[in-house]
Amino acid sequence: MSFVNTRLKIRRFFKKYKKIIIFIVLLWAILFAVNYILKHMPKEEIPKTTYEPNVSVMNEDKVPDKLQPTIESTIDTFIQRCNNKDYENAYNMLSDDCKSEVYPTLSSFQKYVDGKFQSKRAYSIQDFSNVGNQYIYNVNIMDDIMATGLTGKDYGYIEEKFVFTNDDDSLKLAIGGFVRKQNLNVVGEDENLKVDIDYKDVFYDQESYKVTLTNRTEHPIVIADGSTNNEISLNIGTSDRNEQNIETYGIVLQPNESKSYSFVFNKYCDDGNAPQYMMFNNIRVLQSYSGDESTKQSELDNAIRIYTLRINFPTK
Amino acid sequence: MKSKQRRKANNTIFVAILTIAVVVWTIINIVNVFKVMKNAERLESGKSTNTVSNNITIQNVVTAEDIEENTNQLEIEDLQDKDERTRMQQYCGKFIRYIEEKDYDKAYALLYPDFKNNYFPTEEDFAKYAQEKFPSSLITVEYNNIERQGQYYILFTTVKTPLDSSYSMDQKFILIENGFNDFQISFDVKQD
Repeated sequence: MSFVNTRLKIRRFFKKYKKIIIFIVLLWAILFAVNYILKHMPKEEIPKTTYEPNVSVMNEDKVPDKLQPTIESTIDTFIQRCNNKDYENAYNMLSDDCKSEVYPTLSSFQKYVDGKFQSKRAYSIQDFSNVGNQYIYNVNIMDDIMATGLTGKDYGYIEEKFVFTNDDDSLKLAIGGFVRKQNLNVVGEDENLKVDIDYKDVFYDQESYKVTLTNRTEHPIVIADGSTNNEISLNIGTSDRNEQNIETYGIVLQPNESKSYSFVFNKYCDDGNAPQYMMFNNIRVLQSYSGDESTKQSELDNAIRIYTLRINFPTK
Repeated sequence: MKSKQRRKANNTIFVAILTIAVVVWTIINIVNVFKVMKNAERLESGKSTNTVSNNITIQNVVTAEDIEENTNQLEIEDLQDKDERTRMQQYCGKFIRYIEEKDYDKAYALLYPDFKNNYFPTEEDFAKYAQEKFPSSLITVEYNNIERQGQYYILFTTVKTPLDSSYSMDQKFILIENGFNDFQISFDVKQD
């Protein structure tokens, strides 16, 4: 009796829920089949390496995924164009600021290419540092070592800094470590001297300030003659950096004379410090200036004024 | 009234139990089907393995390509859990093994195309060079240093042979790895 009952119940159950049961079984079978297929699909195994070209060496942050292919293909195209001596097209890949500040003419760029790409070159890349929307890559340019096997050569490479700036969703390329041009329009002046700092070119490891000096007096003014090594310095908050080149040329302004200079200071663009002020540490307003070492001391003794001038940079 | 409700509740429990039973039963059956399929595949591959060992009786069932493919697969599996230094050393070792076994065509096939064009336009050129510069048998390679430059690996080695203690050759190998057991090699050609 109970067996018949159970049978009837089962029968009724299947009759009643036939559609649902079929649906569940079908759904389950489909899920199982898809899962099985995905599990057994041949996977492309990629060898693991420690090479992470788009993770910065300095702060281990990653270049955004969407920019990586563009950066890699841009570097590749640029190198291939240089290898093929396709000067104009390679030159046109550079940002306008890089062109105007580092390679103002096609022939100056051509010299760069001829110097670094004497034969076909291979390269490797490594993201070095990321600063805001700028991505600084080390591009190591070397002989085509696979093609030569380093036959008769030692292993070596030239390290170049390529800088990518992500502006308005377009990537701009700069080479030679050039990071950006930054307008300053800072003026410092007193009754003797006017200092116009128009702009600076920021490179990865140095800053170059474009400065115009104007002598407002009727006397010669010596700004720098190599007497000390810190005649012009840059304060970056944590330390002072001396100008790199003035020792080689010196700065003397004749009465009412204006001259323009590029003052270069060592500073890494990713050090987190902002320049605070520029110091002229040894301005000498003289009665007369001969440039002769033998009369230098007497000219200094008769100086009208010897002083320092500090020019502050606006803080953001 | 109460008995009607109880019957309804019993029915629901019954329906639930039956549904679960049906689903479990279906799962077990489908899993079994896949197991049978897998076993069939295994038996199939076992057959070909057997034919390798019994190739005297059943010839031409496994071709040289099949053996090579199997070897390649085994090498890939072996390489999969190795670090990059070990992989590079194994690749270099493979190249040297081909030279040692006088399989110059296989060693030649591993060379980077531009390198071939520059130094060994023909396989014969390469075979001649290998015979001249490398020991004829029992070649050992000491790995002194490895450097990586992007996708390139530079191995600084010393090639020796226990059969001749006076023989020693510093040899640089450059490698690119495209995938597991998929690489290209070049080396510094001794000009003298």
